[in-house]
Amino acid sequence: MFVAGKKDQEATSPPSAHRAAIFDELVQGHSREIQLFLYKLCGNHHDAEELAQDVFVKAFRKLDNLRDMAAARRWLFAIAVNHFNDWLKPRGRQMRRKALSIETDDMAIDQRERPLEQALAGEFSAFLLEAITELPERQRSVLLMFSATGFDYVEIGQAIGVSADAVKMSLFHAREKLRERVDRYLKR
Amino acid sequence: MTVCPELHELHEFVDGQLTSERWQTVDRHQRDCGHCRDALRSIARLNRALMRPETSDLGPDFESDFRERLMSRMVSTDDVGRLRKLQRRDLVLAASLAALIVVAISLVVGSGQNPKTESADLPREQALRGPALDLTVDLRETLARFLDGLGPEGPGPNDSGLEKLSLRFSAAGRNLAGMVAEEVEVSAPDRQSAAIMTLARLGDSQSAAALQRQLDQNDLSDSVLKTALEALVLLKSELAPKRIWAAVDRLPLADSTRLLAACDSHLSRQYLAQLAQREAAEHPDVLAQALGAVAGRDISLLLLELSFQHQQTGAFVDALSRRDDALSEIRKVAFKSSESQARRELALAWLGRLKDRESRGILVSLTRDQALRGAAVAALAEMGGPAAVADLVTGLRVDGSANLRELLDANGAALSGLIRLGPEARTEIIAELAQPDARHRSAYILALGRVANDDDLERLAQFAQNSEFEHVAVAALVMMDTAPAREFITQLLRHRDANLRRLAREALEVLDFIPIKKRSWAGFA
Repeated sequence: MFVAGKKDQEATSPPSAHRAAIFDELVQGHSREIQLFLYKLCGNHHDAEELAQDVFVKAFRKLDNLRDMAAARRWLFAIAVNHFNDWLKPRGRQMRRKALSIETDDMAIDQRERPLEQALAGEFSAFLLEAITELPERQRSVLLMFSATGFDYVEIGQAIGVSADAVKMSLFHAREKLRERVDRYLKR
Repeated sequence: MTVCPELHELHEFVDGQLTSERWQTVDRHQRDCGHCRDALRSIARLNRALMRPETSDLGPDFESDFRERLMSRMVSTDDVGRLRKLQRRDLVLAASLAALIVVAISLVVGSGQNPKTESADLPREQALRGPALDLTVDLRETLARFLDGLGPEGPGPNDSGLEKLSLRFSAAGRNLAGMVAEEVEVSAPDRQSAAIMTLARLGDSQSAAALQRQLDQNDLSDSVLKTALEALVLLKSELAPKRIWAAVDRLPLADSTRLLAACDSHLSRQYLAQLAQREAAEHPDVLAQALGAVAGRDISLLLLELSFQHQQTGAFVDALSRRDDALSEIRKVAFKSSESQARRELALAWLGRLKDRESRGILVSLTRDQALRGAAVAALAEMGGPAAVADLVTGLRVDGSANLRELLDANGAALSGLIRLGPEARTEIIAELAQPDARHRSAYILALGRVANDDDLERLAQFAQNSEFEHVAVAALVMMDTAPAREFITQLLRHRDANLRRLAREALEVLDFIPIKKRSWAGFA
């Protein structure tokens, strides 16, 4: 679904001579935030690290598509969201619940001392992740990018190759679907 | 109070994406509107839930650890090849990355290993592993050990050892292809062959040039020459067919045809065709195998022509039958009236071997062609299968007005085909005798006679005494041509029905008149 933005493609390509250095710069500059981003999405460190490594391997393979270093961060996040979507697809409900139970193991000690609170938080996270997973792919991708990266509509649009208005509408529909489910969940 | 804003505007309000003027309007409105305020609270609650707090501190060395793990992982995948290309473009700038990879390899493959305890009988592994971080190791010796560990067949298509070796050379700023080429010139035959195949796997222009230089030398042994040609084919060199053709007298025919087939170019096909015309009589299997490996209509036509020229061998037909376009080519010959009768009959025989539904249809339709009926029926019989009996019996002519001799002559070929189907056909024929349609039953009565089983004598005798079927039943008894059948026909001479007596006389005349056919029938039975 994600493509390099038109603006990116039209920009001047960096000289091939610099590509090794560019990749090095991408790893140095963005591996931390990409891994944290993926941690937010998948909920456990082990999978987050695997996913982050995958993202940079993919980035290396697609390095020719990166035409503008100014768009590198956006480009990497687009790859990350795409990859996370691919990762999520084959995993069933149980896998997602399991992933979230690993997350609770990672939580700080003070939370472990409050098992009820932890259990409730874990259940809600599992519910939310499940609801997100059931969204159409574009809505899910836009929602994840918007919630976790701080990109605005225009930046997300550039990353995924659609207009800012399309991002706005996808985000609106995604959040409305989720809001309805969350409200129902909280009223139980 | 102003009108409630659209729901999407409430989202944009929370996101801070509204213009300041519009934001203030919505803000003023929500202070007075409980409904919108509730909606905003709900949206904000969702947003908070989506913004999962960062609970992870990755540590100050995260980036370097991450990069190291990443490089180790990329070394174990095809990305190394990409990295190599990248390095070729700019060795100087990429050297730092390559060095990192070498460090990663050394750490990964060398970790936990004590070099002093490594097995001496694993020279290749040892060569690849090498001392960690030591880039000054003697690369020539490393290469020699690598080649000796390969054997004459050289590295496989995705040999990780070759990738790692290539990286070590790149990191040391040395050219691997050049040094491998030197090994070809100075080494013993086994290492020479391994080096040649390594050049092929490296696949760059320098390796191709080194291979060409080798082939220009006249003193190559036959086995090294063959390896060099294999390497050239592997490299998909345009010069490969010419080189193979130039060496055709020094190579076994199987090797030269296989290599030419692997080239799969216009020129290599021409050379293969020449070899086929020259050697097909002597070595049909070798040629059929090589031609069978090459796609294209021209090769199908060549195989068809060879199958006509060399009918005594089934090799070319077998090769032809495995080709997708075989059917259409053979069908054209079968239907083409300008083709000779012999070629058309042969084409039908080939169709019989293909054993597919389309071929069966063609053969059934050609049973109506007087000139080709015999060949079509024989091919159908060759084809066998569940519909074979029906196909053959459908082709029978059981015209009651014909005399016995005409009846037998018109159906001889089809009935011979029945015999080839074996004893299972009898069961099917007997089952069909119960059909109400008289013509249908007549055909199967005649067919039952051709099966020539004495157990059916009584069944045929009953049909002989039914005026509707007496004609074909007596013909069937003639077909049966066993002692009990003859005896029964002789008894019919005394039958009260004059027509039956006439048929019996005619039958005995036919039996006495066709001693040669009798022998051939006995052979079939």
